[in-house]
Amino acid sequence: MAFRSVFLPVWFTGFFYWRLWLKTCYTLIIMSRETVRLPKTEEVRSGLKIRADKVVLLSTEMEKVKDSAEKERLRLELEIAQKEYEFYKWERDITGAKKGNRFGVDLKDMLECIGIGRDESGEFTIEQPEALDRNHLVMVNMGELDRLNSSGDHKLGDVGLGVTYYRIQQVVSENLREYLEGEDIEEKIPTMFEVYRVSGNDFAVVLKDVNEEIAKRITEGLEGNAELPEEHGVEAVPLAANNISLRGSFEVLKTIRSVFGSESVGEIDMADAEQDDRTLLITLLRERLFTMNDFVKVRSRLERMVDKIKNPDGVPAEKLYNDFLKKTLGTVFAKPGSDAALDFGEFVEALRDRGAGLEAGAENDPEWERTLFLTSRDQSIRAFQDRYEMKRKLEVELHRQVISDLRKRANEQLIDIPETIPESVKDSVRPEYGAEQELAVMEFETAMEDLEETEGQQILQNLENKNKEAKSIGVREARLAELMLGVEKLKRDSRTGLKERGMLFGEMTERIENKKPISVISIDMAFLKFFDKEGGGKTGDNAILAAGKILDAVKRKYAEIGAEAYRVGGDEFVFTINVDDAELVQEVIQSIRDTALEVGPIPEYKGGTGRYRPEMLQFNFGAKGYSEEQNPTMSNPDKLVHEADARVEIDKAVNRFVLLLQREDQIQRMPATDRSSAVADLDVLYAYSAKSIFGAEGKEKIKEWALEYRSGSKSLKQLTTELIAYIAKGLENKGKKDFERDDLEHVLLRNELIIEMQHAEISKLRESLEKANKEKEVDHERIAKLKERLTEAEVDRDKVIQFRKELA
Amino acid sequence: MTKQQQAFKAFTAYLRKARLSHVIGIMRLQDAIRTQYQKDVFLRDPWSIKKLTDAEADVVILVVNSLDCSSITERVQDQLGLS
Repeated sequence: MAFRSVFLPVWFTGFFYWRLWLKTCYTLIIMSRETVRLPKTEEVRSGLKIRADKVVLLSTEMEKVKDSAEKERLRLELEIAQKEYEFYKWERDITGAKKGNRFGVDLKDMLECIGIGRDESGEFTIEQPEALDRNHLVMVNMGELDRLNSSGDHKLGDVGLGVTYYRIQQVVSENLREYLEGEDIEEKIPTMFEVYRVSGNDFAVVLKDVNEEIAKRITEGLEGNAELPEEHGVEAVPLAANNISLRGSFEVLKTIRSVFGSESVGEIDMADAEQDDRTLLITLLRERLFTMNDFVKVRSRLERMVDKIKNPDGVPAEKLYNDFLKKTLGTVFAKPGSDAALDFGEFVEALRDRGAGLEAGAENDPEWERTLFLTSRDQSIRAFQDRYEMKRKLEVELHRQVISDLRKRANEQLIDIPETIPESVKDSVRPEYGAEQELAVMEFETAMEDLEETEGQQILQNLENKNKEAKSIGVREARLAELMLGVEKLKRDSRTGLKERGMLFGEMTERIENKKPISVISIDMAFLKFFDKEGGGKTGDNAILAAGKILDAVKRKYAEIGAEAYRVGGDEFVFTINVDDAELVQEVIQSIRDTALEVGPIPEYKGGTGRYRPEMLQFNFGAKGYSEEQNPTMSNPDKLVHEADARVEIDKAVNRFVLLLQREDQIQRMPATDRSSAVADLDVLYAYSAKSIFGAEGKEKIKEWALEYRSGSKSLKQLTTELIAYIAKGLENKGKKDFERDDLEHVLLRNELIIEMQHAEISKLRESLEKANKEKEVDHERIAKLKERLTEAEVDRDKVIQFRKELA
Repeated sequence: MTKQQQAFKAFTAYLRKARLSHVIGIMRLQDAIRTQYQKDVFLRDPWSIKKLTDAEADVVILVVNSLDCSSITERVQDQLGLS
């Protein structure tokens, strides 16, 4: 697993629905028409509750009924209702919005759809550049959730969130209705947006294929107050909304790729680069969306306080400040150097000093507008900075040894990693596919047959069969079978039948929340790209299938300690056991290695490149455990996986260096006449190992060591010692490069945010100026002040833009 | 059981005991054969043992118990403070 993926934020990596979006077509088939449309069109109500009520109702009815045919009918209805409930619960939260963990996944799919990736020559590209301006993200924050929650139990808070979700749907739908032309408008609307609850009181909206004007109108429609139903007798809640298009973050991504020289990659790493591009773009979008929302939130809260003081209806201003807003606004106007929150009196004075009009009917001084902007900007950028520092702190904690070494080597050159197949290898003459390869295929397939189908494959197969049979039995039976198969498919990887990433995090979270021990073994399958690209598609497929069967076999062996296997990415797997026991973890790891030995080398199938030579399945491992007794600090699923992943990198480097060294040594000892073919074989492996061995420098080192070993000047023991030091240093340098890249990303994004805030300020000032010019009694002094501030803001913006150009 | 099967079995038992990847095991096995018997045996992976001559398989059986059981990965982890 790449170091980068280790540090992905929780909201993106966590998750019930890692690959679910790709299964949308299937999902749509099995979801009823009502389910598809319900969140977009109907009034606020808890879909989950409706489904849960249906389950209860049917259970009760079933108990009363005595007629066996009727009982059977109800049993089927009940099972269908239970599956529908399960499906809904997986996808949506109590407000009806999609769960936050879907946001990143769906976004990634959207980026794939608009063609952000690499072209044939590995260059950074986008197939639909116009989509950058036609897809927008809107963030809506419902303020004062604490106030609602304190007014009773959390039900009122839930009502507020439900109202917000409803308001979002209403505003988006109304605006889209005005915007769209032609037929089928009502059909189109639900496909053009989706709402996610991304944190406690934040909603994100993805708007597809709309222009900036409509995105702006939707955003404006989502600002202001949202009224709660009268019967609750509570004051409306404030909403703060902002929107961004994909454009700005895409430009930052381009700059980052250009600065690090990674705007172009070799053929082997194309797919990884595309994934990395999309992942980074999502991180950039997410940070931008959240920070811009902080910016509007601070502004909205200050305006709310000024308004409350001026118009003291409902909750008294002092209570609102002391109980709910002091923690966020209390230090905003504190004296430099003081971090004590102002009391209400001091806060009111601070507002007055800065030009806020606090008396009934009073106008704000133009200076207040400036204060609002600067305060919102500085507060939100500070929060952005704090988040980055926190993330960095966690990384530093994990790599504390790395950091100390990096300081010593601060001026060392970064590693250059060429990742293409050498021309000599491309052109080398290789033996044709024949009897030897066919025999290897037979041996492999026999070994595979000895391993049972995975439990997941069996479950899916049974459900597929039931699904086919049910169609001839009846409509209800068919619906139930469809739902059961659908739910199972959502949970599993179709190739191996192993559970998916979302299941891993769901099950880990449940154990950890219940303070039950768990050990996580992260597993990287070596050479998948080599199997795939050189051995032909079937070779790669079989390697994955073999890995699935191996892990499943070991899972069955360790069923007593709750063993479970997951496929969490292309060549990434995770194995868990329900104990925190290092000795048992090692035993399980060895059992996986043992089982892989039985399968033997992965053979070449017809359709390979001719450069393929069978390699055995080889796994790299990293493990970490959680238990309240031994490892209580590992009580976060992401942290646990993160720690395990960091260890995989080490195992991967060790195994790859040793494998290549052993093969290089063999070549040195061969008669010169036999070498050319072996050299070509090894060069192919080098091409697929560049990242693991730190690029060309690692390759040279291996050749040097092989010569020293061959000549007898160094023993294997001596080489091992050198190898350990070399790998440790290489990983440290890799860490340094990652940190430098993170720093640059952070600086570029911060600049982008400041530019965006300056744009917002300039736009507001222009509107105020226009308004002031139109007023009956023209206030020349105010107009002069506004003009002066507009010029200042434009100069500030241009300075930051210039800085960005210089960096690029 | 053939000599080759015995050698393969002995080698996998060593991997199990030492808890090592086959990559590390094969490198150590080749080295031990070379240093103890001054022979170059070309092993690509553990399955190559199944294709050795009887004499070579005998050597594998003889040296396998003398192989180093330490973990390189653990030593790198120690250096990085991750153990």
